[in-house]
Amino acid sequence: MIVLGLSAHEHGATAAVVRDGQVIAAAAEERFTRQSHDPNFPRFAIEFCLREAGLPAHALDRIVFHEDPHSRFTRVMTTTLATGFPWSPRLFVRSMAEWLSGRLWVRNTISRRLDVHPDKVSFVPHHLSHAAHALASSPFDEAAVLIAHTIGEWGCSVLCSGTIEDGIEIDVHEQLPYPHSLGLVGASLALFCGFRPYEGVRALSDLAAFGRPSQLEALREIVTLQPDGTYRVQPDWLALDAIAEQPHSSPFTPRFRAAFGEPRDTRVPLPFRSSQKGPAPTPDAQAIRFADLAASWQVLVEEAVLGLARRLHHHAPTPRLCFTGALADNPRLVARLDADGPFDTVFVPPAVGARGAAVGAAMLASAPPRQRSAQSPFVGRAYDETADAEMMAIVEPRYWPRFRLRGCDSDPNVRVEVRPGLALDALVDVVVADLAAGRVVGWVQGRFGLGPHSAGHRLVLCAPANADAAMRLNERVVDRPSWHHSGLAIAEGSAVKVLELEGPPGILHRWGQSTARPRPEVLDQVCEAVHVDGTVRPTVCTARDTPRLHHLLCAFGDRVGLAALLTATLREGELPMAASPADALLVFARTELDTLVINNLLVKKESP
Amino acid sequence: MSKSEGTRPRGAGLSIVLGSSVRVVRSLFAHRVGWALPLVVVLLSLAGILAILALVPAISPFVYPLL
Repeated sequence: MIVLGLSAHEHGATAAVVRDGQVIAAAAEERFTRQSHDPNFPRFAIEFCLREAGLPAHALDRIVFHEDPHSRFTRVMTTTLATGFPWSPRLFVRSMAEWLSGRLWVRNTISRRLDVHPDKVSFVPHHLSHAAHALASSPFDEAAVLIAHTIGEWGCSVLCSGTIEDGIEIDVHEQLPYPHSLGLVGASLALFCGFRPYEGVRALSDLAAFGRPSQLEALREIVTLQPDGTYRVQPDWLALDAIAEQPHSSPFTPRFRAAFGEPRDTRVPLPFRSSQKGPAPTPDAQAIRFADLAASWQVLVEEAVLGLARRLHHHAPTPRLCFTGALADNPRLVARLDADGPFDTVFVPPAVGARGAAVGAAMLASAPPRQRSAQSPFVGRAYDETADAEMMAIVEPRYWPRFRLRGCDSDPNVRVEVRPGLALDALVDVVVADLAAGRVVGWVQGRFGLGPHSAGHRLVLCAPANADAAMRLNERVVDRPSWHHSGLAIAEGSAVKVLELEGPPGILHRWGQSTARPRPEVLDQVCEAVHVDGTVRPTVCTARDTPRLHHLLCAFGDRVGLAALLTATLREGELPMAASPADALLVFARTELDTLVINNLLVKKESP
Repeated sequence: MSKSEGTRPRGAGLSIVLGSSVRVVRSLFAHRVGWALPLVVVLLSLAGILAILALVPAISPFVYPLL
């Protein structure tokens, strides 16, 4: 059975093709349109998926959408009516206009765009899409599943368990209905601290390490934890219906502003720095206020999720947990859940939001998965670099100053060396020498991944002990503040040498979903990847999942003594992750990326 | 996206819209808010009228503040 799974109208429209439980292809629309978190109907992603499957649309057995729009419309209509109408009709009118002009008729849109019979189009409840994706991506046949997302049709946090035998079976034990959404409160606080509301969960977690939980008691007024492990969100602090339906509208009520002050002015940067070397900047009172709020939220959300996990363990006493939803994109929370939660093994899929839901919907409708190891996230498009590499001869460095990233030096005398068709060993030798010399390297290999963060095929790399290279990577390549928590790619064989682990690295550290403490004896060698709270965010690379990156790490380890590299996703600022060679070459030309590897092609900047 | 051998019947749009409307009504009753149905119909009709009025240049300045 061949099933197309779709998500749209939310942050990160996605298409996925699943054949007999195996993901053939999946991609977010943003990778093709270059619009971050593109919510529009995933036309280009569908085209890619069908091309990859070698099928026309009418040959699909089923097309499934990741939520039931009728049920969700009912919730939106009744909640916007109940909370604001008729005193604030604007939200109701805008929401209804959005729904009645397209979202509600998604079956018609899919049927019309793909020219398929409407009977082939069906809907999967949103929480089941999440649960199926988490379970099917994991190596487990049976597990408890905790979903902590912003909101689905009606449920916000969902406690369920599932098995994979003759298909995916999901038992929903409990749902916490709207407005009791940790995800929406977290999105509101992310917006308050100056980040994108939904994607800011990870930034909020990184910022939390710089603060103290001094506003915890005030936050407990908004989210009250119950003795039974659940929680309640008090609705008069934040206009959650506003942020749920219009993500960039202000959800801050006068009561919230009176307690927490005004939102952060995003034009003023936060004066924090993750690097342990050099003098630490002195943050002002405003910056400390936001860091303290982030720290308070981190403590509260950890307590709330631990409470839910204990309650879920009571419902489903199994040793394995799959944790998914927007809140699972918080590595410190995942680490705490793993350390203090009631489950022995925790798994977090690499794509926890709407991207994963599209895959999950297709998995649920497809025949049972036959592969029972964790599924690879590298299901995106692979590119031939030759055609784009020819572009380099036309785009000469003397034209670069026109579109260089602000703050980047633009030396018109720089020379670009292009070396196509290198063998892997020769390529790795050059890259290792560059990394050891403090250069910043872009690494593009094979198919791009599904999640918002690169798991190994679209990376920026530098030596984790080189403060200058780490600063340039953060500020002049990926264009993000240097207080963000960088990733650390480690070769599987060196993981025990780098991390304080009780046993061999588990599945939790495979895609950078959690944090871990580095061993004191290697601190100097990975110091630039160590966050201010003393943790690293490791991605343990195996020869099976990412063979070329694993080879590079091992070669780097042979040279400097430790097979670990500081990593960031190959992107520039707020743009989506680079997908094609052309996207990567644009990052190379616009930023201070010194070397770029695209499959077997090497491009290097050489100063005269 | 292939359009050559499509299987979408003619006039499918209308039947889908009707089917979706029925599902919404069922969903309202399933969530015990069926009593709101008359209010919803009235408000949606009003919203539709406002949307049409917003298209008339002479009236739209008075309608836009409501939207």
